[in-house]
Amino acid sequence: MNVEFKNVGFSYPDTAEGTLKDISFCIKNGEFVLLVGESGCGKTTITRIINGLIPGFYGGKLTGDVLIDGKKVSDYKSYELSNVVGSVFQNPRTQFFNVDTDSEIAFGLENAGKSSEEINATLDKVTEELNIQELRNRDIFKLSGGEKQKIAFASAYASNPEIFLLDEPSANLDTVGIEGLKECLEKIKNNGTTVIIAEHRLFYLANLVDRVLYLKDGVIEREISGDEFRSMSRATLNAMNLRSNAYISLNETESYQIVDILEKGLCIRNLSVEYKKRRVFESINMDFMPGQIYCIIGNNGAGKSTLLRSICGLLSATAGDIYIDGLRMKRKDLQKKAFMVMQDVNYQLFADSVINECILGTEKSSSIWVEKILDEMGLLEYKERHPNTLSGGQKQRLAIAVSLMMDKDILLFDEPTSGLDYKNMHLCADFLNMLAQKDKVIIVVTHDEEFMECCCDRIYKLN
Amino acid sequence: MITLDPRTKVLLLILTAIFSASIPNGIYTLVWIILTTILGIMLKRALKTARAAIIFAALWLFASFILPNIGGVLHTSLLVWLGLVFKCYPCCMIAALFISTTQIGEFMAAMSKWRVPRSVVIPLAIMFRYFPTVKEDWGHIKDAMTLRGISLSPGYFLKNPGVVVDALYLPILVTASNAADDLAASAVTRGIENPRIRTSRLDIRIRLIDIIVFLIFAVALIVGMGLSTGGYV
Amino acid sequence: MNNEKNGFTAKDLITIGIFSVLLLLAMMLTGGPFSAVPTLTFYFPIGAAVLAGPIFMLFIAKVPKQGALIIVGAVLCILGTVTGMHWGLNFGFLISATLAGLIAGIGKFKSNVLNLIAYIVYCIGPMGTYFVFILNKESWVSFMLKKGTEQEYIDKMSEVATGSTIAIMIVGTIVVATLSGLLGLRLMRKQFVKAGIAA
Repeated sequence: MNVEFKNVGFSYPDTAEGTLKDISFCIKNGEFVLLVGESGCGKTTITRIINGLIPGFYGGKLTGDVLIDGKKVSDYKSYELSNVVGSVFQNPRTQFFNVDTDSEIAFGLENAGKSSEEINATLDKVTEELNIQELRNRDIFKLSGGEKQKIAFASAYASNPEIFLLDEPSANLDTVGIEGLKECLEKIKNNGTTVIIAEHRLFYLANLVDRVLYLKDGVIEREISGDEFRSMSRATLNAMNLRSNAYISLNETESYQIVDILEKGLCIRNLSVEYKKRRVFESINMDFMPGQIYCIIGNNGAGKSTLLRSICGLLSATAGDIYIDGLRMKRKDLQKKAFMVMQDVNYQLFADSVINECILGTEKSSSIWVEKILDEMGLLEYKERHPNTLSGGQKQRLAIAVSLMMDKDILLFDEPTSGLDYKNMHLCADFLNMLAQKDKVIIVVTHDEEFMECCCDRIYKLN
Repeated sequence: MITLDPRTKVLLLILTAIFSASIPNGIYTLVWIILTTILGIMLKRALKTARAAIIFAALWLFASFILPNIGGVLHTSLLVWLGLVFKCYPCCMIAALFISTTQIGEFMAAMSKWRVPRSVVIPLAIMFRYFPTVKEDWGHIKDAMTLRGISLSPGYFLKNPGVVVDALYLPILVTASNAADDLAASAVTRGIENPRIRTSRLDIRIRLIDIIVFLIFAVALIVGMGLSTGGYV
Repeated sequence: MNNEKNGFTAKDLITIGIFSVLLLLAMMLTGGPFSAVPTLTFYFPIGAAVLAGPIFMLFIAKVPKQGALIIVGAVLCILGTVTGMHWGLNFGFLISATLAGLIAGIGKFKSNVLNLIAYIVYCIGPMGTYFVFILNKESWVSFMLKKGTEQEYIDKMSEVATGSTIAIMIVGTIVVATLSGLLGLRLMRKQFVKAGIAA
């Protein structure tokens, strides 16, 4: 099916971000189109217009015509559109309705009132075609992000839509998850489905795309053919504030020698942790020196988050010790010294303005000191804004500012670049470097090779 | 081993609620628990039902043989407490069985057959889904509070009431609002607003076994209502 | 997906479901401990009113439609019924939530004063069961307890349920609900509106 935008303009009711200005383009049947651009450039807006969530769901003013197969999107009912357009969203945690995988995949078919024989036949077909037999009949709450995203994909796929829309589907996925997503995308491309995908991480899509639309400030600044896109150098892409179109592989770590306990920095010795009666990891030894940026990688279930939580003193170790500056630390001490910037920063922002967030719960705080920290984090101009209205990268920096206010020496980051565009990823790396210069111990759990390449000094791999 | 139509299970819930309301106690609660236990085993929830049944048995034995020997205020308090527990136990047990053996989609489809308005079915269905999410969220929020040195102890609260209030409400409500938006967006794009009668991948229909199970519980209720005299035994 | 004036969109219904969970949990968290102790059971409504104010205020701001609170009441009533709660409690939920919706609706869900009154009315719901107790002790006890030894219980409860207990329950609930509701209004102003989640 064709998708056609004729002089489409749109703005959200409450923000200038994501605005579209007089956009026109046409996507042909079976084309694989990638929408790229900085955060807030309007690419998500385009996907929301095609699946009808704009204006019905998000409000705002839509002008111009959007046609799917020659028929206006506004003439479709939401449930009619759902048979034509399948959508996969960014956050795998919040897009499932059921608690078991089979029901989730069948959700669209059940809404459409298909017979149970037909639903089950489709279910079998979908799981076989997407090669997800091992995900059948599982508790969704116990799946990894990548697995959840596959279920979301399968659920859209089950309705056999002619147009597939994906909005930053890789944002919360690890390398294995992205590989799985890529296989699914190859499958639908080969079926001749029209695919429209808005994304920041581009490497996994390079071989699939037919055309790239580069958006900037709500207009299509450049149309790039698939071949041209594949031949573009990293420098060119980066100059356009885009991420690399090729996978960046990193050198595996050389094995490290455990020496004496460091006089400065964090040492982990023979650490074992059990969580929910399961041994997550055993006898880990690691050293982290101040002023360096350490990345921890490893597959799902290797215990990366558990390790971070133990270092913060949120979990107690079954065996082993953690030392800071040569002293053995108890859990309570770790809670005082270490700080973690969570993957979902929303959990850790409490106050009603950026500046109050910094002084919340702290006693000594001269306003000059606060403003200095905010300035360093590039947040001074937002000091009166509500933290929830900041962008993802800004929220992260606010959490860092909080940790600086609290004088924490050990800073941990859980997937800091998930959902960040090139520019913000780079900013994040710059800020980490700046923190390293302040002699902080910096430990980052990440899957983002491109990010590691910009700032990582040493990689530990958890198995 | 059997499966039941969600509608049958709803009827069993209603029967149990009537039972609890009209035959507060006595040997009949025990009979009802035994019936529920057998049903639980038949529905392939043997372990959990058996555990619940054993806890009940222990409480019941306590109430029958040990409680009469205790005197004073403790007696009254325990008596009252056990009375309330015994009253809710059958209902909660069958409700737990209902939740653990019924899938959300199946429930929605069955209610759709009964023409129960969506405006009640969708919120109920979402509640099944959202309870575990609140638990997950709360774990993260507690971690975040610990890292900020915020504690829920009364001492800390008295010193910094505003901080605790903000830390308690803002993250929970922000995540709930975001979750509502995201969930709704993904449900709408998968056709939840379709006015057709919802179906299920599971073949839901009233079978002979549904009728048999319903009749067993219904007869037990009627007989019990006729014979109940009260008392623990 | 058309936003009909009176009907509920899928988004409304999902929001109602999620906030029902939060309202229920808030009620159990601070009310639950009271209901487990027989001599304190009369103070359950007071405990239940402590936390929910901000949740309630945000909820009516997010779904400012007539009937949203009726659904919450219906959902609580259904859940109470199937877990064997007293019918006075269950229908108390339904009736008070319905009235709360009507009151807040008079001000189009935007008037602070009316929203506050609505929350207080909403908090009166759990008292339903105790009103039944006052009106008819025998029926209440025979519902709650086994037959036979009920006299002892009635005596105990009557001893507890003096006029002053009932007065404390009613006044206490209203006071606590007012405070919690005011906290809700304050958080609306200070946090939720600025955070952009109150729409």
